[in-house]
Amino acid sequence: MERFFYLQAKYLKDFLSFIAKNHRLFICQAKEDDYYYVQFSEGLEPVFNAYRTFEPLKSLIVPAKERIDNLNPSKEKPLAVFNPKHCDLNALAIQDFIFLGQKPKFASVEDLDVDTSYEQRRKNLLIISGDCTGYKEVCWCLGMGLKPYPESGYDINLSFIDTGYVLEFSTGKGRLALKGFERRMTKPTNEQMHKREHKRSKIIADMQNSLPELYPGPVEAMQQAVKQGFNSASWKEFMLTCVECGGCNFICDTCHCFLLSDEKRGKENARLKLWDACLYANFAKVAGGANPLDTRAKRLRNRYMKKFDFFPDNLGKYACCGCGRCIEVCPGKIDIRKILKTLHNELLVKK
Amino acid sequence: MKNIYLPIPVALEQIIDESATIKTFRFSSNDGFRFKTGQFVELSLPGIGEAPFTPSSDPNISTRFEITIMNVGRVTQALHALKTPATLGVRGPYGLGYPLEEFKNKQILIVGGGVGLAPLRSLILALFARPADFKNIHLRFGARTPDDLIYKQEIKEWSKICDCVLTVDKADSDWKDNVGVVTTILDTDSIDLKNCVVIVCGPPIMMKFATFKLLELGFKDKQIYLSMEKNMSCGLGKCGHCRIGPFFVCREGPVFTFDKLKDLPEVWD
Ligand SMILES: Cc1cc2nc3c(=O)[nH]c(=O)nc-3n(C[C@H](O)[C@H](O)[C@H](O)COP(=O)(O)OP(=O)(O)OC[C@H]3O[C@@H](n4cnc5c(N)ncnc54)[C@H](O)[C@@H]3O)c2cc1C
Ligand code: SF4
Ligand code: SF4
Ligand code: FES
Repeated sequence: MERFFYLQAKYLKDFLSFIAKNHRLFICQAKEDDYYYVQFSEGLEPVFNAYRTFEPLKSLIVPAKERIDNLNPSKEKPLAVFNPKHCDLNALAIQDFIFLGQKPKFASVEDLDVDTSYEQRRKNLLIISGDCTGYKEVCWCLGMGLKPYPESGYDINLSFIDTGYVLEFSTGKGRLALKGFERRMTKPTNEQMHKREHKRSKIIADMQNSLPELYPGPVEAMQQAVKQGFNSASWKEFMLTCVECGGCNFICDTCHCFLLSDEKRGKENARLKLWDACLYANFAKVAGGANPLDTRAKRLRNRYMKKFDFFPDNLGKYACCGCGRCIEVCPGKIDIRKILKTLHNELLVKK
Repeated sequence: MKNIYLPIPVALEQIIDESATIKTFRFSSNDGFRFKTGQFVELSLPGIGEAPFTPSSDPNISTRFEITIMNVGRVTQALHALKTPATLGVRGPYGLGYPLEEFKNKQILIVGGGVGLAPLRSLILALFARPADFKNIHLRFGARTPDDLIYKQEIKEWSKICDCVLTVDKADSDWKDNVGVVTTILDTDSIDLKNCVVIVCGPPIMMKFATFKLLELGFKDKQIYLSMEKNMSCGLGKCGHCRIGPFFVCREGPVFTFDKLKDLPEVWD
């Protein structure tokens, strides 16, 4: 079976219409210099977003607020999304780890619980990813060791080359979704395949040349830098401008924390699942008022410990994909790259 | 499709006053709700909210279970205002509970404070149910005042079977036992340090000072079993609230031996 095809740019809409027949398809629309997901409809002009969307990919599978006591995702039409980027796909592995109940290193039990709603949506989710053709100033995927084009985690990937796309199938699910559409595509020429490789190297070079904050420190040493920096006085400096809005948590593709909440709706009782933010003052507060995370500095540090210590320990992977979303939304201009760089420097001084 | 975040209904049969702020809630469990001692449940009042509690009853009884609850906030206040009969929700049991097999044929020192006696009551009843395995049990309980001490009748019964010492922070004229915080009644007089375990449950501050005192007395990190109270929402290792170091306390705890915790810089925060 052929892995690669060539799709002419003028057929992109037909391609998406084809997918939308059997899926609840989300595509991007541009607004100023950002992209947002909207549900596909025939009236929309498809956009091949140059870089990641404003909102995280997780929001399509785990909504910010959802009533869960009358939920039945097995009745939902399968989701499809066009076109998340490598950072998003990488972050999805964190959500999978938590909600699909994959076994953490430090877990003492074998049979971990599965969030069946997540599982159902995730199982059916068709991922049509794409290479980045541009980047934002805050993009620092390379600093987290990720390329600006997908390497795994997609069903179908599109690489834009001038007049069309090199389409790559990675899974049987991807092939099945396009069954019947192959005849609209051609076998890619060697030249087209070459162009894809060329574009891929070029974007990396461009990012390296133009983004000063790309590498906050060697990726292998990040856990050590954060761990050794636990008692660093810098946390107090970092958090000075934090207004506890929780934006960094909500916009983050790898943050997974939530809260179960009960409420009355008329005569009915409803249970909701809501995203929660560890930067909120009450996140860790226990009854009687004791609060292990009682200062903004501790809460900020907690976020880094979770991403750069808990996750590598338990999953062998950092819970940060370098998408830079948290940098963009923070009203306090708190920048994860600068924090990591400071901790790295402090680590070097210690040595 | 099973939804792990939804409770099953349980019937509340009886409410027993333990102190001015603490009540025991007895539920019938015809549908076979079972737990291991030390495991906890999420108890919910439909439409109002949910909170984690450790059952305080004998885990060997299959027809009913009890939860002892202190009135401290929004959900617990609503629970205290309930009248029987009522239908509540329960999820769980969650966590690992007490590893009874590790306690076998050892001296067992049980240190409790305040409402921390609730999980310990379940443990004590589970130990008493196997007298051949658990012979040598020592109880050390503290409360703020004599009125705050719960399970008074039962403690009288227990002290007939095992060594039991009580203390209160502030005595009244009827109090004949010790006065002082719980650490003041900890010693090794009747303890063989080589063959013992110590189980501590109480308010965070008491756990901290009890642990320091026990270490000072010569107990090893691995012999000290602590119940970590963390903010919890899901109980399932998903919501992220209860994390400490590399653990989700709801799943890898809530009971930990101190050797697992001692190197975590945030352990007493
Ligand atoms: C494993 C475990 C076992 C326990 N066992 C027992 C036991 O056997 N007996 C016992 O009495 N206690 C026990 N506790 C403590 C018990 O869980 C708390 O007392 C209970 O959660 C208090 O709930 P509350 O709503 O009444 O208190 P509150 O103080 O109102 O709330 C407690 C927590 O919920 C948060 N919260 C409150 N309201 C809201 C809101 N509207 N939205 C979002 N967050 C909110 C607070 O920030 C706080 O973190 C146990 C705790 C744990 C972790
Ligand atoms: S921490 Fe920031 S850069 Fe890292 S994944 Fe989350 S939003 Fe993206
Ligand atoms: S986005 Fe910035 S201000 Fe808002 S909670 Fe996060 S660090 Fe604080
Ligand atoms: S209570 Fe949700 S992760 Fe532990």
